[in-house]
Amino acid sequence: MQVTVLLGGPLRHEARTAGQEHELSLPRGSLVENVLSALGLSPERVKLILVNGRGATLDTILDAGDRVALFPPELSFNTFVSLSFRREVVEARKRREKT
Amino acid sequence: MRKLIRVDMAKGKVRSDDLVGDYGHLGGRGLTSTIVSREVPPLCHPLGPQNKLAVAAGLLAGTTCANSGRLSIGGKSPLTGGIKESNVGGNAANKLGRLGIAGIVVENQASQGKLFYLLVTKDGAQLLSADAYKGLKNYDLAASLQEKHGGKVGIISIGPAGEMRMSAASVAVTDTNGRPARHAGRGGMGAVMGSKGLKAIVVDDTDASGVTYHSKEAFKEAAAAFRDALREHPVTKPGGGLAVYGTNVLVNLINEAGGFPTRNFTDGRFEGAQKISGETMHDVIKARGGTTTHSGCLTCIIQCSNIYVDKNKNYVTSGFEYETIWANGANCGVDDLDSIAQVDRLCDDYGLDTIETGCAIAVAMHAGVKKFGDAAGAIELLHEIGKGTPLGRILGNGAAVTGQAFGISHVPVVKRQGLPAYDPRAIKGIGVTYATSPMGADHTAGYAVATNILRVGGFVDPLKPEGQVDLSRNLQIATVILDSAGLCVFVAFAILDIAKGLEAIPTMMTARYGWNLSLNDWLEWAKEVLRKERAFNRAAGFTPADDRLPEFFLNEPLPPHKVVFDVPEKELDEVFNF
Repeated sequence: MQVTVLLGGPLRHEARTAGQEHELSLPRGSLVENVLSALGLSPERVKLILVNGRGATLDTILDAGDRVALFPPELSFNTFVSLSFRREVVEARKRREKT
Repeated sequence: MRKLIRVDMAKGKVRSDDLVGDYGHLGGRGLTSTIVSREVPPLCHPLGPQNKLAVAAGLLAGTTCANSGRLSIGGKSPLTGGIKESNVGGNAANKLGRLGIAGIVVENQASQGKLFYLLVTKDGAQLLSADAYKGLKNYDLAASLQEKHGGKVGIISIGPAGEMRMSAASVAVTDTNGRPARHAGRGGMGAVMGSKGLKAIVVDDTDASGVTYHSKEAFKEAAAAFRDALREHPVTKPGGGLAVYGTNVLVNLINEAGGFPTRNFTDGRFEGAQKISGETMHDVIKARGGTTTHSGCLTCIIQCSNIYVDKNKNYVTSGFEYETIWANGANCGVDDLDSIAQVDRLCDDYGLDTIETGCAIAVAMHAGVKKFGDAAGAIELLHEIGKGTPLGRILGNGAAVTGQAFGISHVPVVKRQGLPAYDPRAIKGIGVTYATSPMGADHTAGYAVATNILRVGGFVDPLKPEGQVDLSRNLQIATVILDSAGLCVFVAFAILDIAKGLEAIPTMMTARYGWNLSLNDWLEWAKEVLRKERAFNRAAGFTPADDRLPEFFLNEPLPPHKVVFDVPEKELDEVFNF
């Protein structure tokens, strides 16, 4: 399946292939973390994840045609947006660590 | 003892008083809002002799604290009809602080047709004739005043829009390079200054004695902790998000979140976002040899400002910001960064709020005056404002007047002030702030963060109504502290995450003044300021009906999330429950 990925700020230079927007072919049922591996990005460099404009986590399952946006810590700063989304990410990480 | 300068424009007299009594603990917004609520009749005409223009440096102005160079400009707003504190950076607040001046209150009006400027030095303040500067744009004015008084002075000034008393008129402040690129944009304070017959305030801090400290050592220690917090946080540190990309880095983030108001708030995503994004702007500035990392304000270490140059490497504008690029870009359907930079320069020169002007032009485009996306048309409209033609005067009085003049109902204003760059349907927390802030639709009034936000239980989804009222209330209270200390709102990002940064603020206040106030005391103090602002607005005729968003936000679903603003009215009325 195809997904579109937008990389915020310096991530566009840190990805395996440079560029702000990427079209990726991934196996069905892929997760956000598979997008990171496909682009060679480490999870520490991704603080804010949006899938189709909504807060998402590394284990969010993707559908064909999804639009994934990844932002590093230095760009995750609109409090009204990122505070909420970050909290979701933090909570999901905590859940994962427990299991 | 800090001083308060009072200028009587009718009599041409200036006096300097010690800041004592009820005003003694005040600075920045706390001082301007208290002066306005105490001394300005709420029912007076904003452009009449009874209104006052209150200019105040923050409580930490003139100190070595990082990012303490903000200036508050207050009065009764000709745009909203309510109380206003318009906040600006630049080089003036720090100089006032070093001169021991807490604020300047401009009263009454000069006789018809007379124009003055106020020169403030270590020896005092005096009114001088500005008749020679009539009609001058801000850049030429700053150059003339610098020629006369030296290149290092701080200049607070108005352009032609302020002289014409337009409700979108700003008050300019020179940046660290002496360019009039920082503006107290919101609420038409430039029109109030124009109505007084005051063209500029020139602040010369040569041989100023500087500030005294109750405990210099304690201040140094707290200021270092505060500075370290700013240097550690990824958003505010050297090489961090704001330093590299400027505030415009928000374009991609807000566009992706589906809250980037496009074509007069009819879409939440702009197809041209990439062309005007912070990343693109960074690359353009770098390729042309401009400056991406720049301190626009004295004492700033975040450096979110920039210097934008054209294809021939000539200076166009600086402090080219997200709100400006949104208002005159996506909001007008324009995706050409160079054209938007021209608009920013013209707004700075004519002395106009870039947000209100962009909102007014977008409303005019919606009404068919120009087509959305017509960048050259937008620039033509700006020149109409600068010339003061009948069309220009309609636009120069803001989005509400423009909507009224052209008979359309899709007008994004609260208390007649144009909405900034976050659609309240997709980012509902800021919608609550827009609706309820005493300032009218204002993003900075509730943009910062108090520590207790993290203590607010659960998850605040920007797309859902739950929790937004608590979020907005806490932000609005915390922001009053920053606005009164004279701190940049962006320090909030660091002090949210790094506790020693937040703790340093009350410690610095104590070390500077010897007042023993805890963070909780300051929060209570901030609530009192908000109560005064609300009381002024009530006395000026505001009711709960003024704490609402325009009806289209409640009825027209915003793509791509197809959401409306659905925070219940009952909850909006509970924001100020303290």
